Amino acid sequence: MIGKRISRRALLRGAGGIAIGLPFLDLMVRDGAARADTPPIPQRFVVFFSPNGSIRENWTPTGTETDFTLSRILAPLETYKKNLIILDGVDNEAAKHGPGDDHMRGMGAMLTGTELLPGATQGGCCEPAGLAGGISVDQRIAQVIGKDTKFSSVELGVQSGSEGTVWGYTAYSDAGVSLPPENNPGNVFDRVFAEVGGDQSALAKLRAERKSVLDAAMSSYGSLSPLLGATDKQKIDAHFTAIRDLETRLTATNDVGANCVKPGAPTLASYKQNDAFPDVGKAQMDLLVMALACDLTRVATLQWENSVGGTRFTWLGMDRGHHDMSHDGDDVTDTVEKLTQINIWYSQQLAYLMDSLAKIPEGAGTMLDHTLIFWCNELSRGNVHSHPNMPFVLAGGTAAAPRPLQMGRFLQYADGDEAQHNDLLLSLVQTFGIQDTTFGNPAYCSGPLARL
Amino acid sequence: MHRSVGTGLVCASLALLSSCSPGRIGALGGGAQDDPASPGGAGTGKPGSPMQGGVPGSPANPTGLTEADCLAKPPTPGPSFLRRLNRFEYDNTVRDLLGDSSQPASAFPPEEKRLGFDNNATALQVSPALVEQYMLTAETLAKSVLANNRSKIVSCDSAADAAGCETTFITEFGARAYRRPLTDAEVGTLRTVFDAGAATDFDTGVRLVVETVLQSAPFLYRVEFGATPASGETVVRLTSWEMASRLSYLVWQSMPDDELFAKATAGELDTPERIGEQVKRMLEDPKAHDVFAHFHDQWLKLDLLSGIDKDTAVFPTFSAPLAPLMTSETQKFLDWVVFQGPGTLDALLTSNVSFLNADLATYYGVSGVSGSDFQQVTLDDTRNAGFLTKGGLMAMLGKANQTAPVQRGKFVREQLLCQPLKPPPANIMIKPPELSSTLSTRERFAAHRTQTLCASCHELMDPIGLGFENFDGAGLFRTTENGKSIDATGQVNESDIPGTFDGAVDLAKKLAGSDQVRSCVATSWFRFANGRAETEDDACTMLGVTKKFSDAKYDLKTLLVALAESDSFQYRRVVPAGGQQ
Repeated sequence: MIGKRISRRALLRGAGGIAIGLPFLDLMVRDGAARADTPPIPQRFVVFFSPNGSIRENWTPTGTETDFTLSRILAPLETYKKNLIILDGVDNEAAKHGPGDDHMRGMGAMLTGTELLPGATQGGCCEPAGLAGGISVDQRIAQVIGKDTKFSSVELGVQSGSEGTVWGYTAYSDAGVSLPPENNPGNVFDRVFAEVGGDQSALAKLRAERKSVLDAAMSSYGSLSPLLGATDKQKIDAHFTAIRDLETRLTATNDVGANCVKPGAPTLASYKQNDAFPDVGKAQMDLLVMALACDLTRVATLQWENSVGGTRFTWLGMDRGHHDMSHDGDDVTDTVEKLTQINIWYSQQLAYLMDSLAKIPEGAGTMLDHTLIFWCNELSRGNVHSHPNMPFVLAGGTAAAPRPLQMGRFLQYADGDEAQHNDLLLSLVQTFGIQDTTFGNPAYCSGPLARL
Repeated sequence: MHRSVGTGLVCASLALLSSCSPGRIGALGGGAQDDPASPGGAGTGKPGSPMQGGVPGSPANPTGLTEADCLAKPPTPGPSFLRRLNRFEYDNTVRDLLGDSSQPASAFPPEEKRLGFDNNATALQVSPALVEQYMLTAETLAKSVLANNRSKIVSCDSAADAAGCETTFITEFGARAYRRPLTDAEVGTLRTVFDAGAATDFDTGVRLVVETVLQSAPFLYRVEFGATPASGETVVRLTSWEMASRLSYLVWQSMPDDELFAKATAGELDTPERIGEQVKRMLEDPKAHDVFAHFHDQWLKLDLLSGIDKDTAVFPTFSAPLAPLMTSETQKFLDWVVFQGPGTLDALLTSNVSFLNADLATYYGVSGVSGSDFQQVTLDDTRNAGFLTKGGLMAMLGKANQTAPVQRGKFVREQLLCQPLKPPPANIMIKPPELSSTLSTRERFAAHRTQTLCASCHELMDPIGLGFENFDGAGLFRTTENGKSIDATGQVNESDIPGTFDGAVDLAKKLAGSDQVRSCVATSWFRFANGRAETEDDACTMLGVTKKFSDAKYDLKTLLVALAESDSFQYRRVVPAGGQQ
């Protein structure tokens, strides 16, 4: 091999894109200093959300568990067939209970396995509701695999709306505490990559300043808390904890990964315009992949639209909004075809994300082998607003995880109680070595998902 | 939402419809709660007549207390919770504290609205994202104030006397930001931060103190303990400093000004008379306009208006740029009534004044208006009455291609009569009846009345909403539909104005004379002012407020004065550390 090291900083300064060739791999060492032992390969978890249900007859593969043919919707993932687990027949039981309409309940329960809190958001039917009633699976996983990175998790949106309501969020750090997705790739870049490749002495000064300021601010909450009534105390204590967590994260130095190349700042005219949707999505995925490669985070959510999202897929020749179309009956074959096309498009986006991860070598394979992606949806089918047979796909790999999943399978579950949604969420948590025995509302969890 | 995938009659096949009878009107009789999980929470209130107790329609006086009862009792304020600045208040506060009008809080996560407002204490939770935004914003604001407006926060000469100036800055700026004098411990904390920065230079010390203060609890929250209670006392008056903040956040939704601070220092915010005098002064300040606007926007849900779009095949003269103009028209009218016009609830509901520019006037067919600036006009009073008949509200409460009688009726029922309706049950198809080129809207919606199960709910909405049929789905006046004369008769059953009316102007006049509407407005303002739902303990406060509102012929500024002078605003419960609030 070439007998000369290039400094991490030199590399960070010069780079502009995410493409990185194999020769770089052996040139890099982590964080400037040569290490005798190779650091363990990071485990990663990414949520990939698209809304308004799918079209099951064009989604479900045919064949057996290990010998199957992908459907039209999933065909773009053909290259990565051995990196997929397609789950057919998981029922989102928690989404059938509690306040809120079907979209709201589906969205809240999707990653939390809980009923919604009571609240004031009025859906299309039923009692009004608040936000989800528990921690989301990505955040539970982040508590463990995200504790050593600069960001325990990163929440990205692609024209996600409905802020302030359950329709607008996938991730929750606690019951009723949502983590809003950032829709602006420019803000993601500024926030996530702010310290990568910067002036190290200026960064050290900023960290020291922030520590002084946050310590002092925190003391105002600490001294107030013991004087307050129970309700107010809970609020002030939560604020105290949030500042403490922020300080821990911000004052940590980042040990950038060997594959880290600081991307260029996104240059999008507008991230809000409907027709910019595909470009925004690509920009967010590029940033996400490099945030993972730089080991700035190991957990992320990528939220396309929001529950009841009304994006008009004009680049596929469609004028009507996604949610509007999803209400058409099955007899409107033109709409069924269009909704199929939308889901094919999302499948292509997932393929792009997997392509990007597969281009970055890591260990004996690529980053794709160490990144588990959960493609989820708040509904099964849009026009019936149902929650059985959720269109869920696990993609990527868990090769070095404590309890690796065997990928390359098509798992079909019988109708009824065989495959509970919360069992799947528990399995995801356990895959990363977390010893939990239940997830979400325990009433809807009977243990890890059978056969997974 | 939209359960059925096929076609069929609206409101058909209702096997399980049970929610509209008899408890079809929710959340009255003391039922509205900040925490909807509590028994009797919003939407699960008592059935029956909203006319309860001594105050007609008062949600807060189900016990029927009289004025004499209240005079004989010590104050019994409802619970008061720590209130965090919401985005609007944060922006206003940094404007007044730092001279920064950049409205940085627009980047914060939005509040979850509760009871219709964005300042409900219980709903304002703290998320990691918000705390990070607080830090980044504090850093930006601190840099900016040093670059642009340093003298606003540093009044002394740091070159002449650095140590003295440090103390002056910390105590002066700290007291304005915390809205009360600092404790010694707080001065010590800020001094430590200052000194860490002053190792670089004086202004770095200033910057770090500003950053710290803007992230500290006494700035971001309105912390209240009240006066020290005497032995056995369970209710105490607020301190003058706490009262100064309550008043400034009520009337300006911002920090106190110099005069309020002076009154607080002198301890002169301790009687209803002194408080009322301050509120009257504060209402003369332009900042009060913003607060009325912020209330009206939320009460009338005007945020829904700016984004409306219409099917131009049905409404060919409508175009999207008219929506923000309609919003302005309505907002200018509301502001005019309160601050220049008669000032009363009656005028809000019945005045035929409006504000148009050339584009809007052309759209409505009003002559004599030119230019893009809005000008005051007087409209035909047989067609126009108050905010209800403005094109904006009518278009907002309209479908893309037709009117929306159900939404219009629901709006009147919920926003003006304070009678929240139960949502439709889960097993119902919600789809307006098919458009018709021959039938009138009233005829198309007839199924709502002929099918018993539909009627049990829709009789509360449709007979009101169909009274607005003279206004099409895009807000234009019309006298015919599909060649037929409009029948705009209706009635407001289950209310204190149950008789029939003919058309929106007649309805607006009836609403203006309704004690239930007056009480509803007072109750909405109570919720906005106190950041919480009224409780039975607030019954005497509501009684007193309603009486003063009535004595002043329902003058809206007087309503604010009355709220500030009320027991619930001046007093708080004594809460032991860790105790239930």
